[in-house]
Amino acid sequence: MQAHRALVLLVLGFLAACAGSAVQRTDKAIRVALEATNAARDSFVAWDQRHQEWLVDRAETREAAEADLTAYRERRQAVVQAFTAAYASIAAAASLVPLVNKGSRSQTDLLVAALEVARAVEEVKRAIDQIRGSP
Amino acid sequence: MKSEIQKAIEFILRAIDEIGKIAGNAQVTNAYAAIKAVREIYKAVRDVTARRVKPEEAQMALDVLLSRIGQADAKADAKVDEKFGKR
Repeated sequence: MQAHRALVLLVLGFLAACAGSAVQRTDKAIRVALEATNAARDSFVAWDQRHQEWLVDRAETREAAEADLTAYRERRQAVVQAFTAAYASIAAAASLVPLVNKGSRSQTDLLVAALEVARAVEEVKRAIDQIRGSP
Repeated sequence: MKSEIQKAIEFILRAIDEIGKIAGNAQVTNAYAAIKAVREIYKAVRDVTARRVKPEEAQMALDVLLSRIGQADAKADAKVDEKFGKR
């Protein structure tokens, strides 16, 4: 349900972002990307907590529980890195907008940054799908 | 305090509800309510996307992720102690 809400919001956001100049549209797309990434973050952290509790529940010894948690947290690093890259790309793109408006950076620079945001957000989704599909 | 995104989602759900009512009851008043709700959705989303992203927002969002993950780890570790006893 939460994923559906995020999807509806993303679609509506992109529709709303369709109006205005190329810079305005990119600016709005960056906002939508941030909100979508935040929605993915909230959904992931809720699952992360449930998953760790499940690992403890199924363990028969302390050593097994600790080993499972350690292994899971190492795999989770890929998700954290994907989120870090996504937020960094959003910050970089956002910092370009005023520079493009002032004329000190080109619209092409902003477009390249926006494409990097899209790629990074897609990588977040892939990383989450991968960890949720593994034991 | 509700975020603008949460408000937008509430508008969406309300519009879906209103549209659902029209399917069972084609009164003009309901149709008007549905159109009004859809218009509010558009406005809410437009208002959200109109706010320029500041780079610090992305940094804060990442901080929230790291903080919540830290909290989840602490809870899981506490649950290990609770189940098997403290070392």
